[in-house]
Amino acid sequence: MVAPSPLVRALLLVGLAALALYPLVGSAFYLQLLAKIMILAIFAMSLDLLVGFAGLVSLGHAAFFGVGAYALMLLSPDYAAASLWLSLPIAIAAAAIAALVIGALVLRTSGVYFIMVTLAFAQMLFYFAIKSRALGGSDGAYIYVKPDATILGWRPFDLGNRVHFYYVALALMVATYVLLRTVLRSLFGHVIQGIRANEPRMRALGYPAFRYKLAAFVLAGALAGLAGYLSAAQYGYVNPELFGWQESGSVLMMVILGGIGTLFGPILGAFVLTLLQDFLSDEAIFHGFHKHWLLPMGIFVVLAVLLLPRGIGGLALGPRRSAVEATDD
Amino acid sequence: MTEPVLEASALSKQFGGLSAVSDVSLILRMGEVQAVIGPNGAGKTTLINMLSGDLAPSAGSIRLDGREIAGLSADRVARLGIGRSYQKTNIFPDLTLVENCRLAAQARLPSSMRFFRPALDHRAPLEGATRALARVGLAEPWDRLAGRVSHGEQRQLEIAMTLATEPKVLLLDEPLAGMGAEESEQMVALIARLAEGHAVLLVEHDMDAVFSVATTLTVMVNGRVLERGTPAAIHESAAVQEAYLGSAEPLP
Repeated sequence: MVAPSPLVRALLLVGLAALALYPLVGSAFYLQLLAKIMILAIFAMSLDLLVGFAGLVSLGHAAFFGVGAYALMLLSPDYAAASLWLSLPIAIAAAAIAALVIGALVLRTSGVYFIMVTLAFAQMLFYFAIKSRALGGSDGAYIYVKPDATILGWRPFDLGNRVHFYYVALALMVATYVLLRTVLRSLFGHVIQGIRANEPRMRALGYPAFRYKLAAFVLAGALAGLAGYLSAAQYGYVNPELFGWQESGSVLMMVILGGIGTLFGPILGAFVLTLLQDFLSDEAIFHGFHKHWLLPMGIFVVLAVLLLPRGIGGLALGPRRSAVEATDD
Repeated sequence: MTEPVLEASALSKQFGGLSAVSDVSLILRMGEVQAVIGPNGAGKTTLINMLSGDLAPSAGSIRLDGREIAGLSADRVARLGIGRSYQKTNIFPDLTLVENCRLAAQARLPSSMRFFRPALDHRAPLEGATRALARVGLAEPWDRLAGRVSHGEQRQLEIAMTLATEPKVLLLDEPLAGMGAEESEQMVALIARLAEGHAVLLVEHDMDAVFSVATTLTVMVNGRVLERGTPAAIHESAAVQEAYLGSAEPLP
């Protein structure tokens, strides 16, 4: 596993401090945008667990993001708040169960087939959401009141308050990072990374690879569900696009651009891609051209992939060790 | 004589219409080294793959300590006590020597579904790893990357990883492949030492090595057992010389 170097760790802490202090000076618009990005960072880190550490390239990860979001919608009474402490665990559990069922099927394939089958399952949920009246059909559905954090008569924070919501998103992003770092250092983490490197050898050593991959898939699905729940809570709105392949593709892009298998890279990927999109589609700066923001965005992505094959996070890891030249020393 | 540890009877494997292994039986006891020899395509590796659970036999039975294991998955077979090494070096090049063996030794734990405590805080796998590295005689330092050590050392590591899973039965698929004379000599001495505490089945092309280390030889040709006996008996066998060398020339 690539552990962040002291320099990277220091930079991450500076970034964290900046995010923690931002609400003191920031505008309402950017508070909301940054909260959205931090939610996407949770989503991207959960996918990096699969792509970067378990070697499972999923193109259907939005399925679990969508399940988490729709779970909050279903758990919210029409014009009253759902309890955060009840609805959040249920939403995460729903995403985890969806990942368990889907994972048990898709993990029987590998490589390109795995990519296709994960995509197919996400699309199934997408069409289910479009057709289902209970889920609001293609129009989606509103969550009129944000989940309420009251517990035993005490209300530690208010998700309806922009600053509070911002700090909750920040805390959960940091918690997700710490959780995944811990898991990757554990016995389980070593096993899934061994499976990514050489699955037949791991089986010959005695590891039932399928079970470990399924556990990783469930953990990643649960965290994607957390991100989906937060996203639905932020915008008060869900629609079938949350399951869509664009969603799965854009989070995969954050992971690739940020640096596969670095964990902090996908956070950077979420920030860079979302802020860049915001910048390029700003009418005040680009006048009429802002409508074509996908064009400069595409050029940026192509250049980034060509120039930074290991992603933005790869920059921080220093030059690549070459096994060939290294044998001479 | 000790009880058989591994007992294969009438094993066969067909790939479509091709019979890779037909009706091969084998009894392996604790403390002995047996070797399977034969020309390329004789079915030696297919036999190993069946014993290790990598391939399910088309027919026949495999008993480990009297328990039927034919058709079990490779990881089940490994946990029951059959360890294997590969003809082609099969290690984790991006991990250090000790990490390779630690990961192998970790497979001995009842479960690795442990998500929070750092892996390196679990002492048993680390101790198992250093024991295995010491036993095969890999030179320190052990924090070298496995992908960067010499071929001979990688072959040693391959055996050390198998040992770290603490198997009863060792299936060694051409452990001497690609080794120099001196390295081969060390490996042969190691295999002889491994007989203590293990039942060893060796597939090997190097005839000098096989004749010096094995107590029983099985000669396979075209998927069948042609002859079985002590090295001396095999050396004298006219049938073996005929089939193996394609002529009546005596073996070297």
